[in-house]
Amino acid sequence: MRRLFSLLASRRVVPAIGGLFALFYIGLAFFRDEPFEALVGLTQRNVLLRCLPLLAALSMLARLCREAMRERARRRALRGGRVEEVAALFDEEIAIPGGETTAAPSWLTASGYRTTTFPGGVAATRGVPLFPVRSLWLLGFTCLFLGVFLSLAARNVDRAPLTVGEPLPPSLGVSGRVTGIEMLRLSRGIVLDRDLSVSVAFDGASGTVTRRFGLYPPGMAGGRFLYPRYLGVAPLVRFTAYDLPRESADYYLLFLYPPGREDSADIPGTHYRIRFRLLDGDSGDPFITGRFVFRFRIERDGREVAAGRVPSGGTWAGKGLTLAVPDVKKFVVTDFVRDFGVPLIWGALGLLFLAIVTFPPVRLFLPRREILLVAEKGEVRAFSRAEGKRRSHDGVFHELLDRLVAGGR
Amino acid sequence: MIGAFQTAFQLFLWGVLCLAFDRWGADREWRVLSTVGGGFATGAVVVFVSTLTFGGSATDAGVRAGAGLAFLFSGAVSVAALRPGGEGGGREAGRRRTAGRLLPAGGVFAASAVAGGIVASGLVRNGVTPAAWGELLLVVLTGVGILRLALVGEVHLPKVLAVTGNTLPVLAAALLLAMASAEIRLDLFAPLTMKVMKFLHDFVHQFFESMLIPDHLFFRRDAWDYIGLLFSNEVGFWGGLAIWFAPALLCVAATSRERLPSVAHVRQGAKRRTLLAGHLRARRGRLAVSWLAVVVLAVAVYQSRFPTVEYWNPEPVAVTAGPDGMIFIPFKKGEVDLNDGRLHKFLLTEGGTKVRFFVVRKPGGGYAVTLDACSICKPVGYGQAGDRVVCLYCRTLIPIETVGSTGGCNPVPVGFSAGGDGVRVSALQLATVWNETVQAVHRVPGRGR
Repeated sequence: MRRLFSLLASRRVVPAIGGLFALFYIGLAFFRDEPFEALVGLTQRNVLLRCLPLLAALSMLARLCREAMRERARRRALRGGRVEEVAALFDEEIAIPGGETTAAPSWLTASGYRTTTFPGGVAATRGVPLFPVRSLWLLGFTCLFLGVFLSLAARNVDRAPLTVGEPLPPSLGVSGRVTGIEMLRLSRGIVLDRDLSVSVAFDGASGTVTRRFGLYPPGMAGGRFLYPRYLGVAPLVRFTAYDLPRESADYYLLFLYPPGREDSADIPGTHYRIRFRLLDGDSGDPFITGRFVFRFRIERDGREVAAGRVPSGGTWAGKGLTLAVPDVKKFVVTDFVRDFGVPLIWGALGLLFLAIVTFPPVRLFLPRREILLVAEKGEVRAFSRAEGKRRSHDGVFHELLDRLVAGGR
Repeated sequence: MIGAFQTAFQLFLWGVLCLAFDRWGADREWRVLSTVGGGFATGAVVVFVSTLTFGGSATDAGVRAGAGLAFLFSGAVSVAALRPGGEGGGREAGRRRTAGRLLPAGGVFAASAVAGGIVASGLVRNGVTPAAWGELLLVVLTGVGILRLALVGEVHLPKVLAVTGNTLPVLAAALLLAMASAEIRLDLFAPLTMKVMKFLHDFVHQFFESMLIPDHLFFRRDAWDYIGLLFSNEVGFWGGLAIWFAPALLCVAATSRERLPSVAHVRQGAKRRTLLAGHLRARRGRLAVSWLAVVVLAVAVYQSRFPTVEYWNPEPVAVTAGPDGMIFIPFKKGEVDLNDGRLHKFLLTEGGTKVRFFVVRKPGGGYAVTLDACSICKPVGYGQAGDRVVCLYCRTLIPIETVGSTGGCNPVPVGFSAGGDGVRVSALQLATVWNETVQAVHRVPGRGR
């Protein structure tokens, strides 16, 4: 068990896994046009590859545990507690036969160290330990690899349109109805310029509850994130033609956003197809104002027979044809994503950011330096360790040793 | 003339490589001579035999793979070198694992073989001719002669310039890459930049989707412009540079971070300082070797960006469409002969858009009509070097046989008809394809894919 732990906590594990994936990528890059997608697909399909991020997460966790145990043991040693294999906790160890430690605390204090005296020894420390920063770093990578593993292994995506007035897709597992879709312009957004608000009325035991889902961070319903992908409009198209026996009226889901995109609706059971294009509104983005103006082209058997423009609520007539758009619903094609890795990865990025921000000042200006003197069996064993400013610390340590040899003079 | 210059340059770098090998295995001169010299000669001969058997493209790919593997190995060694000597920290101070164990005679032989192969590749640029066999003999003799000279000259180098198990693979890989970059067909930096650009694009796209980040429609313009930097062509170059120099710079970092050995047991301050000064001097020597690798890699990048190759890059001839909207290019008119095996560029001005395209006859027969641009790089255009066309932006080489196929850095193909007395291309189609694939492609997530 101990051996397994030490193997898992080895610093070689994560670079080896990273190197393996890099080699896979390089190999795929020679043979595939989309090597990254191919690598992700391969990893998702192959159980062994899929488990490698989990192995990396476990390795990071094992390293964190090991470093925590070492830190705890070192602190105990510096407080005068009994610790096995003290030497393994420090950078240097040297034994001075017949050394004398009584004058050491005052000299070390004068050198800027905080000293602690305990029976049979002296401990001197200076600066702030890097362990908390290292913990953030290792924990960040643990979360990152765990998030990647969960994402690869258990991500599930259903795509469906959310249309105003329509019920939620059954695959979501909760019943409710979309009551509104609004796009808002953000005046003070740092990154985002617009926000999207999807209001849903959920049917519950205690009645209907309306919830609003924003753009970011994505909201959750039925254990799934709602990830809006594409916007569109569903106009109610009433169409009559001189050669058709009756009026056709239906809603058509058209991917017309942003304005300028074209989409078409085939009138069922006829030779007609209508191509729509959303025009830029005079008073702003039509998805924000809710005022839609369509440019259309009517084709019969692929040949254009009429063209014009019609606003929502308006009617166009000509050449024996009429086209009315009495109502327009907004819709959002949404991915319903079940992925427990997402929060972990965001958390990991936060932890890593904190670690990166705090590391330089601690390492550069307040690095931890430690000296431990233990008198036993007629000799003084001196231990030293430094996380930074090593040269000056070594100078102090060496001079201390010289003084111990000289009997504290 | 350019070919001779390239070979001389490669042999010069071979000399530096020999010095490095000699310094590393100085106490085993006969082994160095047989391993390094034998490797060089073997590599050179293998390239000749392979070119005869498998053709130039396959052989080039093999040589490039050899140089690439050397680079990957140097990367692995430099990452390993960063690790402290023992998990216990400084108790193992100064005693770091080196790649010495990982680099037995087989590795030295392989690296020498790649070097020999690179030099020999330049001799078979135009196939294995009878004269090339004579040149091969001359090059092999020169290579072995340089090795012998290096063995003699190595003892005069300052002792402090130590080549260790960590620095040797990095320096050797750098020299091999620089040798390869002298020959455009073997250059690895240009393809690396393309792969990096593609990787970053795909990674950011995947990251946005995985992290449920909204589409660019919702982003502030200025915020999106910053994200858009990740999709620019330049990011491929800078990312490529980062990877290119990583092993050498990691080696520099590893050497700089090497802990000095403990002198705590020495009770005389002066002796302590003398010992430490000695170790610092030795460390500076090792650092010098790592920095030399950085300089050599910089030379390789320069060669890749500004290769000493003469391209056939003709001025585009202006063409116009007829009343039927078709452009007619006769097989032979004036100096333009579509059957001469060279690419011929044309310029169409359609509705304010200038569309460059070229026509080339393939070696196996048949023509290809493509835009003078691909859908990835800036539309700088293509030149021709022998039996390949070269993207003048990313320096990717494309065999003329495959021009007309889609994908990667291939020029974007355009439909045409050839027959009778010339080639016919639709002007509308040319303008549409140019607008859709060259001008409209912005490398942002979800677009241009």
